[in-house]
Amino acid sequence: MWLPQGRLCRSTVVSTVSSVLALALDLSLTGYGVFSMPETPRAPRGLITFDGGVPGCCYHPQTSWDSTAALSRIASYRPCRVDLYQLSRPTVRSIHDRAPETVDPTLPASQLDGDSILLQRTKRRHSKRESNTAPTNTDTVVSFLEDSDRIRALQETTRQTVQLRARRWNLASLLENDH
Amino acid sequence: MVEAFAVASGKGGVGKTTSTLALGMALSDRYDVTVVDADTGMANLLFHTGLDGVETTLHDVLGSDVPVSDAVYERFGMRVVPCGTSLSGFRRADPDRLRGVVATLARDTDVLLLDSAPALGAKSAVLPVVLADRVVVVVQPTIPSLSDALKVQEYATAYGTSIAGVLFNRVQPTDPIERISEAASRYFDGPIIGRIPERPSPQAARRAGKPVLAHAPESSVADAYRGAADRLEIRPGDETAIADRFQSAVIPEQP
Ligand SMILES: Nc1ncnc2c1ncn2[C@@H]1O[C@H](COP(=O)(O)OP(=O)(O)OP(=O)(O)O)[C@@H](O)[C@H]1O
Ligand SMILES: [Mg+2]
Repeated sequence: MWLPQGRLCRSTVVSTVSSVLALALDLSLTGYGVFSMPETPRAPRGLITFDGGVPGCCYHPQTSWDSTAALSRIASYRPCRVDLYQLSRPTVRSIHDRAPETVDPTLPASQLDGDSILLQRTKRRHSKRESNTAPTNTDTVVSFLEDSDRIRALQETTRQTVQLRARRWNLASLLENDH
Repeated sequence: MVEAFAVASGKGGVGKTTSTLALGMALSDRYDVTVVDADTGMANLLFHTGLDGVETTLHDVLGSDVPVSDAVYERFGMRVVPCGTSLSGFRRADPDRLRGVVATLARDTDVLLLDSAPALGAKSAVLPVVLADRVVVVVQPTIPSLSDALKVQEYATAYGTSIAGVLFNRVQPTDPIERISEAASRYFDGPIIGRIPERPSPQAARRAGKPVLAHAPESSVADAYRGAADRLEIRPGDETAIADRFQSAVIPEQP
C-alpha cells in the first residue's frame, strides 16, 4: 500500500506487540507504526495506522487489508521492531476514508492479548474521539458524493475484499453468485 | 411470520443501538419485536435498556449451555436479548453459535432486529448482515460514515441481503441534508427512510437506561424514528425458512 512518509517519532524493539498499542495511546499517536522483524529485516513489514492513539487500519502485504489476518502476522514477529511515524490528522483521516477496511478499534487490543485496561482505554479514547469529531464540512460531503469515480472505485475495491474474506471466513457458499 | 433485519453502519458511534431500539419500539405497536445485541465485542444495548445488572446475557448463551430463553427480557414492549461487556465473556463466546440463537428466536417473533458491531473486518461483525433478510443502514452525513455505509451495502448485496432503508442520524441543522440525501440516494439500493436530528434526547435516554421512545416519546427524535419505522415495510416471511437459513449456515470459523 502507499502511505505518505511520516515524521519518525519513536523506534523501539518490543517483545509483545500489545505494548505498542499502549504506547500509541500514551503518545496519542496520529500516524502509523511499521512492524518488522529485527533479525530478518527483509521480511515483509506490517502496518497499523492510528488516529489519536486509536487503531484505524491494519495491513500486511501478505494478507492485504484483512485486519485479523494482518494482526496475526504482526503478532508473530517476536521480538518485534516498531517505528512510529506521525502524520497530520487530515492525512490520516483521508487514509481511513479511502481504505477498503478500517478495523474495529478494540480488535487489535483483544486479538493481541492486551489486558482489559488496554481495552477500556482504547474504548474510552475511541468514544471521546467520536464525540469530538469536528462538525462536518458539508460541502466536502456533497462533493465526495458527486465524485462518482471515487465512489465506484470504493465500491469496486470493497467487492474484491468481500470475495476475499468470504473465502477466508468460509462463507463463500452463502455468496449470491458463488464464484 | 418473521423478518430479520441487521442494523449496521460499518463505522462506530453513528447510532445503531439507539436506532435499533427506537425502530423496535415504534414497530412494537403493530408487531411482535425482538432485539438482539449481536455486537458481542462492544456490547452496549444493555446500557440503553437498563439491563446492565442482569444475571444472564447472550455471552452466557454463546459461551456455555445456557438456553436462549434465560437471556430474553421483556422490556418496553419488546423482547430484548442483551450481551455482556466483560472481556472474559467475549473470549468465551463462540460467534458461530449466534446463528442457532437467532434461529430459535425467529420461531417466536414477527420482527427481529440485530444490532451489529461496527467494522467490517471481522466475521462476527459481518454475520448479521450475511444472515438477515434485509439491512437498515445507519449513516451520519459525514464522509467516513457514508463510505462505510456504502461498504456495508457491498457486503449485503454480495450475500443476497437487500437494503431495507438508509437512515440518516445525528443530522445537524447546518447540514445541507437535502443535497446530501439526494446525492446519496443515487448509490443506495434502498429508500432513505428518515433523517434523525442531532438532539440531546438520545444521550439523556441512554443515561436513564431507556430507549429514546420510552424516555422522550414527544421529542423530535422520537417523531422522526416513528416516521422511519412507518417507511420500513415489513414483508412477512416464513419463519421456518429463516430458521433453516440461520441453522444451515453454521460453519466453523477458520483459525
Ligand atoms: N440523533 C442523535 N442525537 C444526538 N446524539 C445521538 C443521536 N443518536 C445517537 N446519539 C448518541 O451517540 C452515541 C452513539 O450512539 P449509539 O451507541 O446508538 O451508536 P452505535 O452506532 O450503536 O455505536 P457503536 O458503534 O459503538 O455500537 C450515544 O451517546 C448516543 O446517545
Ligand atoms: Mg452500538
